[in-house]
Amino acid sequence: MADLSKLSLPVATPETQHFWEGTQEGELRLQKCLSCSGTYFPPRPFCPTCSSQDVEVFTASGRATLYSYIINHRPHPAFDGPYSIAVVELEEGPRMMTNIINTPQQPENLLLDMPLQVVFRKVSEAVALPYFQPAGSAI
Amino acid sequence: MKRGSIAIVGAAETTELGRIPGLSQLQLHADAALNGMRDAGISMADIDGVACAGESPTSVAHYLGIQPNWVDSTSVGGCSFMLHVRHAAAAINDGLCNTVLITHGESGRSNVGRSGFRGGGAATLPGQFEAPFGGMGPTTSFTLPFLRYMKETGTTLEQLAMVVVSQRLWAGLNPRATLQEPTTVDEVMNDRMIAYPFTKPECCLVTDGGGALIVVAADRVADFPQSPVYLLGTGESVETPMISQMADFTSSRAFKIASANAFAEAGIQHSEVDHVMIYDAFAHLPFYGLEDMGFCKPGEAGPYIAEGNTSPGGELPVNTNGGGLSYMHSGMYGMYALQESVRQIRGSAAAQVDAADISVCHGVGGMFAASGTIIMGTQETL
Repeated sequence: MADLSKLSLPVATPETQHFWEGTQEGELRLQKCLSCSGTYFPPRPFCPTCSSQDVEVFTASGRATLYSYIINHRPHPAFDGPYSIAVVELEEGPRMMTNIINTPQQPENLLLDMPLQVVFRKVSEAVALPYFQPAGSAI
Repeated sequence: MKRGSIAIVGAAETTELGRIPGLSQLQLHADAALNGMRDAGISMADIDGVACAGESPTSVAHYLGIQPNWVDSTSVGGCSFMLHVRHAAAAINDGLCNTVLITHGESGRSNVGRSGFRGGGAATLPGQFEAPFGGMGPTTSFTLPFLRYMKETGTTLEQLAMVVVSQRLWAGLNPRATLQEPTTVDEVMNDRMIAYPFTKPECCLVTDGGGALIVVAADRVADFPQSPVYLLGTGESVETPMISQMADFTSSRAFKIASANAFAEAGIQHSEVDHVMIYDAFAHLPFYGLEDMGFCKPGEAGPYIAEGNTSPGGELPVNTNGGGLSYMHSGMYGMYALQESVRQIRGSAAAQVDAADISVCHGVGGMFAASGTIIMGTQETL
């Protein structure tokens, strides 16, 4: 059985606190530059495109598409059987790593560019992780 | 670096490769260093610059009894040694030191006294935004861009398997290669799945070993016994510590910057290149290397390799020692790619390429995180 305590859990820093508080509250929080309008991830208190520090946190739509993935066949104590590790492209532009869940972990069910929706799962008292599932799935 | 101003006059690997449980990682550095100095006909007292990765130059210099004027501990993964060569060239040309020893040693298989290159903790950006999703190191992150590459380029899994088949043919000509038996596309594709779509033979070996290089100003080559190997061009870059943040999954920005600078410095055309090494931690890396360096157009590397162009007898010999897939791979393989380029330019390789005057040696560090390119040539190319 999958043992979630075997996951390597994130430890937030001051610059990423808003993101991990957001996942606890069911929100996927990105940042936007108010100078050049660029949206970016991972978090930092300045824009990686124009270096402006005039940036704000906002809640993303949670919609994404499947950019690329692998299916790991080596055993991991926090997962049951082979599992996907994916990079998704968020509707707002940035990409992030995740697992695709609530669908069979097989190439036939994991098609590049398929629409996805974020879903949050509490994996410890203090941490909820952002996962993605096929759009239209029941949460 | 001024083209041809620097030369490699000593090069050697550890006495053994593969499983070396009798030597600590530090002693692997030393074994390679001693072999390298013997190759160059010099002793420890002649060395005044030390560069290494995996161990600190402090540890290596002290262990070997060297009192350096210059050190470089650049550690950006398996291509660190390409960067050391480039940095050593700049340091020598600037008069900071005269004779640089670059060492690699890694107890990747046996884990005897291993230290060094390891990922960060749970509060680093990779620790926060990648590690929670169950990655298991290179097998699950280096491979992640490839399905996107396939979709954008039309490259097939058969072509991926052909990289293994091709390089195994080179390994069959090399008595020091770990895997020498020929293989087939079917065998490769039906082997154990590691991280779909990559099977075991499409992932690098895990072995022990080391290597060393001795680098000096080109005006000193007459003082050394080996045929000199001149540096024609060098380049380096880094992109991202997180595979998920690689800007384009079909192309490495670091590969492009490093190789473009090396080719510009060397002032050569791709048609002049006789031999190529592309760090192959996984079977897709030669695709990215050939395309990002400009040997193939985007999407053409798969068919190019599958048609045998990089195999023995082909027009562009690639990974002639068998590569990380079949020769050896200790964790930071770049040193072994450099060693093979030196051997080819000296004319002493096990699978020697005819008239090898220019060799391009291209390395990757981390998971497409960093890159270094070194172009070497014979006296005739100056």
